[in-house]
Amino acid sequence: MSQLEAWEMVNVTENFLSTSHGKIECVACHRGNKTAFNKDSAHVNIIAAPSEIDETYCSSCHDDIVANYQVSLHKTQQGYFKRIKNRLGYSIENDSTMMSQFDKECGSCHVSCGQCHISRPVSVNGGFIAGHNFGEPDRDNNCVACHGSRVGAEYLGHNEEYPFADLHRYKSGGNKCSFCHSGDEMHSSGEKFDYRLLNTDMPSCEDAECHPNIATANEYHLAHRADESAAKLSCYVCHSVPYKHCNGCHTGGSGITGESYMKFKIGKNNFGLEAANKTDDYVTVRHIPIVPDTYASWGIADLPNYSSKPTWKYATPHNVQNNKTVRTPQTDTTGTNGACYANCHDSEKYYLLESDLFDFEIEANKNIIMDDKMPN
Amino acid sequence: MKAKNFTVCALLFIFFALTFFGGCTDKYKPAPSKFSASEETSCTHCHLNASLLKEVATPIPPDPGETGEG
Repeated sequence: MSQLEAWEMVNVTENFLSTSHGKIECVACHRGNKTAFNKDSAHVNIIAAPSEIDETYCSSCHDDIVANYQVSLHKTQQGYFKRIKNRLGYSIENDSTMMSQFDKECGSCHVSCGQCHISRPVSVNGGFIAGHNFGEPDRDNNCVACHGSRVGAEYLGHNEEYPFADLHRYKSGGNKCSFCHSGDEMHSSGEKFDYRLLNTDMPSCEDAECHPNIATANEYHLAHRADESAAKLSCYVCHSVPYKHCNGCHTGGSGITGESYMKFKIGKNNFGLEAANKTDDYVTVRHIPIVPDTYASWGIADLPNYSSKPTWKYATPHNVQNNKTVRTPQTDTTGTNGACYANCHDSEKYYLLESDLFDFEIEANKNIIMDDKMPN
Repeated sequence: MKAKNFTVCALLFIFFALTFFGGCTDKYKPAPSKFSASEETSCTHCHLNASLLKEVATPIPPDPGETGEG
């Protein structure tokens, strides 16, 4: 994503003035001094991003959404706090020293209404997307701006090794993430969740408006989705191509310190996501870049509860293929005499095994690695 | 007689008041605008004008590179 010029970021287009938001006086939301014709004086007490104070500036018209948004993970970043707490053993939310570090390094991933509906997110320096016009989030300027390094690159087919875009990208409506991800999921429908995978408003492939009867659509689905006596596979197990994994991440400015790599890995679903109906037995898993000294620069040399949660997480790679136009490697029958099962039933290649882990990760992942959990 | 004088005075007062304030309104009537009156401010004067913004914009720091949690 190329950086906008400074002037572009704040250039209002005339058509904005005829919209409902454009008919509101600028100073009603932004304050400042509307009679000053000097940049500095005009901007005294300016509120550049009024929707950061959404309960004041947005709720008079959008009260339901704003009320729900107060518990949205996009606003609260509760997923971050929960994940840190898991491995640290206590919440940093009441620790002012830790919070100042968090705000500096992680806080920019919080988003206000405006960062999805008017401008690019602050994490990429912001700037109007359409001359201050309000609108549905733009896939490339809003969603991918934050979710670009893994999900965005997968969906758009930008990973060099596996340049196969998600087939949904080419569906009518697939140019918007809202094609699958609803306002309820993004804003929250009012219920608090510890992190996003527990959000019951997340889409499912088998939703009524998507693929409701897919479990019985063919012999493969019958065997791996519909047969109650057999292990159930998530859709991604057969329909994803390899996706990006990251290694060590460190606070204090160094960020991701290990090389990312492309891999496809299946793990046992022992992630405790039953409440969100994520109950498939075997699922795709992605390596997250947490290491014991990730927060060393915040004064935590080693996370005391590092092994309390897996370092490979439940993953929904956004590079789904239909196995017709593009065949995924795990279902490819090349060299197997046409046996599509060979890669999964006669090989361990695609499973997450102890040998895939660093020594310090083995304990954390013991419930999801497949060494002793192979399918029959 | 007193009532008649009062009526004449009142009518004269109303006449002058209307002349004065009416003239005042005409004199200071806002110029026609393609925008609503509330939008005719220094905000729109600058922020709709790309050339002016280019002149006065403060350069932004370099792009920090790849960001985001994925």
